[in-house]
Amino acid sequence: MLTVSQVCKQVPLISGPLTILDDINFNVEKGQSLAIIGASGAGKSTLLSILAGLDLPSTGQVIIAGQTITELDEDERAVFRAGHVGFVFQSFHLLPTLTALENVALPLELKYHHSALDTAKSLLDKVGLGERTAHYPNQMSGGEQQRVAIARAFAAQPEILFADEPTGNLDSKTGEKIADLLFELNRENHTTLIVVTHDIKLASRCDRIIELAAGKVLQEQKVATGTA
Amino acid sequence: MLSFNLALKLFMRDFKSGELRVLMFALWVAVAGLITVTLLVDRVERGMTKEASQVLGANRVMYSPQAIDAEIAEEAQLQGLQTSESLWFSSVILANDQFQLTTVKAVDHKFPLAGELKIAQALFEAGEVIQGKPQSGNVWLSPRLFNLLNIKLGDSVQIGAQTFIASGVIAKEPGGSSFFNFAPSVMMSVDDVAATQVIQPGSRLDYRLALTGSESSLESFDSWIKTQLNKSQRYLRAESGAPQLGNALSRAKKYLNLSGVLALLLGGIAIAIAANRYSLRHFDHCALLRCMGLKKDQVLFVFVWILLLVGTVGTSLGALTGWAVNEGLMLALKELLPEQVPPVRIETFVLGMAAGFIVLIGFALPSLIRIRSVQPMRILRKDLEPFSLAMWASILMAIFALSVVISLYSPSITIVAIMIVGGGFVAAISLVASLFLLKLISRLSQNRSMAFRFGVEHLKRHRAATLIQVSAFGLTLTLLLIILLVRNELIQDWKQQLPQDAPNHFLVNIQPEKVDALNQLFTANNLVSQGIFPMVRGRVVELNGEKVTELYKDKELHNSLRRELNLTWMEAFPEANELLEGQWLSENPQKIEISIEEEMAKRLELVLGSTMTFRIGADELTAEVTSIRKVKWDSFQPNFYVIFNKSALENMPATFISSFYLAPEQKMFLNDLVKLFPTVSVIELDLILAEVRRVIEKASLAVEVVLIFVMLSGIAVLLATTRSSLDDKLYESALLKTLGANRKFVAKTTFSEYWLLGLLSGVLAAISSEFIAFLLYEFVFKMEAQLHWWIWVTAPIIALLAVVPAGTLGSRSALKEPPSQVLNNR
Repeated sequence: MLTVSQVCKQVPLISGPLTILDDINFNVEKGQSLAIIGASGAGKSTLLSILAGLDLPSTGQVIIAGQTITELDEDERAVFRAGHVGFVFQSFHLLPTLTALENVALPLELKYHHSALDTAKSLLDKVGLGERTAHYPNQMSGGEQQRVAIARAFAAQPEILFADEPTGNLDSKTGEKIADLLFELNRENHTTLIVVTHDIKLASRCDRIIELAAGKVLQEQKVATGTA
Repeated sequence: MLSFNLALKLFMRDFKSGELRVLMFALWVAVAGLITVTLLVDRVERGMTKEASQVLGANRVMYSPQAIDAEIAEEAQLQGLQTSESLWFSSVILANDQFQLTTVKAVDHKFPLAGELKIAQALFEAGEVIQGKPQSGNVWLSPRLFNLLNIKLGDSVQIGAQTFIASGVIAKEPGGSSFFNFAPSVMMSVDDVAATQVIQPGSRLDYRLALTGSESSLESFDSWIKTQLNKSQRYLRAESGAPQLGNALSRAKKYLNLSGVLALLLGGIAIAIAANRYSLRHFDHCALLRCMGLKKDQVLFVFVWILLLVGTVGTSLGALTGWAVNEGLMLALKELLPEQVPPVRIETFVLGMAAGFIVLIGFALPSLIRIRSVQPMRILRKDLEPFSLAMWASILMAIFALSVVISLYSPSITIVAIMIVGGGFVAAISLVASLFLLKLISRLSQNRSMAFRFGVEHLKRHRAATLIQVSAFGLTLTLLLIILLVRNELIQDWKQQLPQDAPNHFLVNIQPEKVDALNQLFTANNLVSQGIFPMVRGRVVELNGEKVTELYKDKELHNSLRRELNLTWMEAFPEANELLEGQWLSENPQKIEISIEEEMAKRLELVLGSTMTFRIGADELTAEVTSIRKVKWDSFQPNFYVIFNKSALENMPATFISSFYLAPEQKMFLNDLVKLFPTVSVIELDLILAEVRRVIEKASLAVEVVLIFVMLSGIAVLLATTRSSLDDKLYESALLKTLGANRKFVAKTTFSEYWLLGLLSGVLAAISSEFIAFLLYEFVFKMEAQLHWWIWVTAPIIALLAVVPAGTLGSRSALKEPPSQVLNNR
C-alpha cells in the first residue's frame, strides 16, 4: 500500500544544507498499522508530511496505492489526497464556523457525495456524538472534538489514514478512548494507518513501530499482537 | 459549484459568528453614503434642469440676429423635438400720448414650450395658464405698462404703424426677469409683426427658436447644431442659465460627490484591514481544505465567492439604505424641487453598487490572494506563512481601484490627483513621523510606569501593525476633518455671499437730475441703497494703442469686446471687490486711470500699465490700467468690469444704477417709485434671491446627512483597526496574566497603547488635513486657503476621544477571557 524508498530531506541553511531525513526506506501493507516514534526533532512530522503528499522529499520516492506521489505536482497531489488519504491531527483542526455534522460531511461534499449529510450523521452516531450534530467545535470538549475529527477522517473512506499525535492534546483517559475509537474504525474500514506519536502505549497498539533518530530509522520492530 | 456551495456555507457561518461583520458594515455604509449622494445630486440636478427649462421657456434656445433658416427647425422636428419660434425686439409703445420703451415678444401658437404663461383679465390677478399667442390685433402687456401708460384692459395701444387692443395682463411669463431685460413686455402674435412696420434694415432683432424633447434627441441635436451656428448666433442650454444658483449648486455637487467618494475611500480602508484579518484567521482552514484535496485555485475560488457574496449583500443593503435615506431627503427638500421630483434612475444604483464592488475587490483582494499560496504543510507547521503581496503592489491595486471609482463620479482629474498626492503625502509622513514620534515617546517613557512602558514597547515591537493603525486612524481623521472643514467654509461662504439684507431690487436708467430726489425717497422710506453708481456706455476700441478689430482679426472676441460696456467711476474701492494688483485709482485730475476685473485682464492680456481706449459717444478716451480687481459676480450688487477715476468720466453723459434691499411687506413702495420716477426701470430679484437662499439651506442639510455617512465609515475603520490587533492582544494579555499580571495592569497597558495611537494619529491628521485642504481649496473649490489653528487642537483631542474608548472597549475580551482558553486556542 505504501512504499517509501530512499527518501531524504535537506533544507538549505547559510552554514550549509541541514539533513532532516536521511535514506528512509520501508513498506506498509494494506490494512496494516504503523507507528512512527522518536524524540522531538527526529524528523517524524517531516516524514509524515512527505508520506501524505503535503511536502516533497529532496530525493527518493513515495508510492501509495501504486501511485508515485512524489512525481505529482501540488494540485495533482491534492486530487490524490482527496481520493485516497485521510488525516487526524493533534489539534483537531475542525472548522470553527461549521457544526460537527458539517465538519464531518465536508470531505464528502468535496467529493460530491450524494448523501454526505446522512453518511456524516451515521458516523457521528458511531463515534457517540449522534446527539451533538448541531454543535459547534467551541461547544465541545477536546475529546469530543477529536472524535468529530476521527469521524471526518473516516467519512471519505480513505485507503490510508495519517494521524499526527492524535491523543497529544488529551488527558490519558480520554486519549485511550480516542485510540480505541481510531483502531476500531481502522479495523472496520480496512484502512492503512500511519500514526506519528510520542506515546509508546499508543504506538504499541500498531502492527509495527519505526523509531526515528536524527532523521534516520534507528530501529524497526513488529508488535506481536495489535490491541484493539 | 463545489466552491460556491462551500463558500455559501462558510459565508453564512462567518456572517453569523461575526467574522464578516466589520467587512460587511464598511461596505454597507460606504455604498449607502455614495448612493445617497449620487441619487441626491442626480435628482436635484435633473429637477433644477427642469426648473431652468421652465424659467427659460424651453430646454434649449437658439438666438439669432437674423431670421433662423427654416431647415434648422425642420431638422429639430425630424429629430423628434418640439419647436416654437419667436421674435423679440425693442420698440416704443404709445397710448394716451404716453410712450414707453418695451420688449416686444412676437410669439407663435406653441409658446411657451416649457414653464407657464399666465394671462389675467385684471391687474394683480393670478390669471390662467395659456399656451399660444394673442389673437391677431391683440396684445398682452406687463402689469407695469398699464400704470405707465395710464390705460386699462380693452384700450388701444400703438406699436409702430399698427394699433392693437390690450386684451390681457401678463401675470407670469417664462424667461422672467433678467438683468438685461428690464423693459416691460408686450406679447403679440408673430403674424402681426409685419403690419407694425417697425422691422427695418439695421433694426436690432432677436430671433429665437425654442426646443424641447427627450434628453437623447436634445443631445444629438446639440452636436448637430454646433456645426450650423454662425458667429452671431448663440445656442443656450436651460441649465446654463441662472449663474447665481448654478455656482452654489455646482460647489454643492462637487462637495457632495467628494464626500461620497471619501466615504467609499474610508470604507476601502476598513475593508482592507478587515479583509486582512479575515484571511489571516482563515489560513489554517485553507491548509485543512488543501489537506482534504482542494486545489490551490479551488481554495482561492471559495474565498473569492465569499468576497462576492459579501459584495452582493453589502452593496444591496447599501443601495437599499441609500434609496431610503434619499427618499427621506427628498421629503425634506420638497420645497426646493419642482412639483414632480424626477424618479430615481436605475443607473445610479448600478453605478454605486459597481463602485462598491470595485473598492471591495481592490482593497480586499491583495489580502485574500494570499490564501491561494497557503501550503497544506501549514497544518503541521504553523510558522509557514503564505506568500504575501508586496506592500507597494497592494497599495497600487487600492489606488487603481480608487482612481477608477473617482473617475466614475467626478471627471475632474484634479480631484483624483489631489486624492492620490494627498494620500501619498499622508502615507509618507505617517511612516516617517510615526517612527520618529515612537522613538521619542519611547525615550521619554523611561521613567514612566511599568504599564506605560510596556504599552510603548508593544507598539515598538509590532512596528508594522502600529504604522498601519496610525495611518488608518490618521487618514480617517484627515478625511473627516476635510469634510467638516470644507462644509463649514462652503456654508459660511454661501451665507456671506447672500446675507439676509442682500440687495434684492435694482434700479436702472436713473437720470442724473433724479439722483437727489431718489436718495430723499430712500431716506423717507427708511431704505438703504448700496450706493448710486453712474453708468456710462462705452465700447473698447483699442488695447495698448492697437485697434481691437486688427488684434482680434482671427481670434474669438471676448464678451467685453463684443458689446458696449457699462463703465463707471468711483472714489472709494467697491466693497464686494478685492484688490489683486496695483494701487486703487488716484484723485489726480490730470490722469485717466482704470481698475479692471481680473478675468478680463487675463483674457485681454492686460497688465498694470497697459492702456485701453474707449469710444464713448463721439469721444475716445485712453486710460491706463492701474489696478486689477477680483469681482464677486454672484454677490447681487452692481459690479463693473471697468472703473474709472472720477475726473475722467464725471462729465460724460451717464445714467445711474442703484440696488437696495426691500422687505416683502414694503413691496408697495415700488408703486410709488414707479409713479414718481416713470423712466426708472425696476428689476425685482427678490424671488430669485429667495430661491437661491432656499437652495443653500437645503443643500446644507444634504451636506450634513452625507457627513453622517462619512462618520459611520470612519467608525467602520476604527472597528476594523481595533479588531485587527485583537488576536495578538489576546495572546499577549493571556501570557501577561499567566506570569502574574493583574487585570488592572493589562488594562493600563492597553490604555497606554491606544492613548499613544490616538495621539500619533491626531497629530498626523492635523498635518495632512491642512495639506489636503489647501490643495482642495486652491484647485477644486477655488476658495481662499487659510491655516486652521483649531484643527491642531481638536484633531488630537478627537483622535483620543475616538481611539481610546473604541480600542479599550474592543479589547475588553483581552481582560475577560481566561488565559488558558486563549493559550490553548493558539
